[in-house]
Amino acid sequence: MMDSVDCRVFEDQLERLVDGTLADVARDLLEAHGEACTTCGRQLELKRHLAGPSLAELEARVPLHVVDGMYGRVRDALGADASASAREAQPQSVRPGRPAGLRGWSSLRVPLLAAASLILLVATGALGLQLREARLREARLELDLEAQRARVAGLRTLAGGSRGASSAPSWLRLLSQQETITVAELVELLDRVPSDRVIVSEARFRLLKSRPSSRMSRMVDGLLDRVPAGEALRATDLLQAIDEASVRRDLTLPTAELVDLLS
Amino acid sequence: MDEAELRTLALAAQEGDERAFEALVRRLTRSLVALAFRYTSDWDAAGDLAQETWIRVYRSLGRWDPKRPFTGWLHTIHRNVCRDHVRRPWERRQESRPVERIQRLEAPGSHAPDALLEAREFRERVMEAARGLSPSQQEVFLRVDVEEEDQRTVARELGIRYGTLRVTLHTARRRLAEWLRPLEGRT
Ligand SMILES: [Zn+2]
Repeated sequence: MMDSVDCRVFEDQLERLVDGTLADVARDLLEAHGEACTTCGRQLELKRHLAGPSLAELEARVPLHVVDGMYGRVRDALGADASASAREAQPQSVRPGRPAGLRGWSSLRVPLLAAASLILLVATGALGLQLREARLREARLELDLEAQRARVAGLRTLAGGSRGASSAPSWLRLLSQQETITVAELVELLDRVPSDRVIVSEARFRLLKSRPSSRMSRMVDGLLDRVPAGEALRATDLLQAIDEASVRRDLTLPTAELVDLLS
Repeated sequence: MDEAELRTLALAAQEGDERAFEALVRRLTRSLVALAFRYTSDWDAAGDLAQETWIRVYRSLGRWDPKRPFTGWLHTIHRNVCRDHVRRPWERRQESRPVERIQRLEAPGSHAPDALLEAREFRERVMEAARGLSPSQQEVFLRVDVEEEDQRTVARELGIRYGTLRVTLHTARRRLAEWLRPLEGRT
């Protein structure tokens, strides 16, 4: 069987493949990919194994000897500082509500600029983008896997070719070759250009700021005012903005206007 | 298990009522052990982690905010205990090369004489490999794939976007899969 699934599609559908909620056709295509692609096959193996017995099943199976006597063991271990007064006097470094190891996230927070840019892009009217609703993303794999794969492959090929220092980014050329692009595909595309690639230049962004649409809400104006001048919009900013605003991935954007905006 | 009832017990325990604390231990240990088992694949080791959690809970009970659900607070502490279990051995031997250790990662074979033991070893090795992930990848991988938490809830609690969580999760799984890969040529 020809392998016709993109690794990203596979990864996106991995949970559903493991929990058996995919349609037969989609499952067969994904499994064929899992057999052909070592990395994806291993992920499937890993996920299947980790899925194991559910927490509820495990809870029912906990051996008695582990549960029995727990209180006694805890009391023994607490030993001398068992009294309530010792408890008060011994603050521990437990910090509920703030899981460890998360410092890295703060740098991932969406900059205001990106949020504003997103609103510029999708809020509307404001920049002439027309958004219309399409099918649910989850349903699409089953309904249209082939078409999606072909488009994604096309996107990747073109985006992949753009890493050289070319003056006209080929991902923009690609955009113009299609009439419309879904938000999901835009994300695919942006994922494949270097994350610090400038999508809207500083000058261009200044221009956009200088002529806000009358239809732009007060909120957008407020956001824009707070965007620091002299900052360009990078691919990663746009990606984060799209996620942050919970834009539906199946929205379809007319590429002509997008290209006009971004080039 | 009624949260209001647990809250009453926890409040009493906070006031120093030992019997109330004992009642909490009796009622909630099972769920702590079940979660810890997903880290250890070993009941006794899981019991040790639950015990460690109760010790920490006892000592810091004074700082539980009764406005928050007691079980949520308990599980936050327990998760940290389980995380420490994953991280601690790695921190202890900074000198050893993670990749060399990780390359021993191996999926359980279907023809295993002792499938249970293999499953445990496999999970141990996955945990060992998880130490090689970045902190954010590790956090997301453990909470989603090991602790079975709802992905949108995790994203909300971590203060990150759902899309970021997905990308992070996929990267973590892909890296683990890459580390599993070198063993394919064996046998
Ligand atoms: Zn693949």
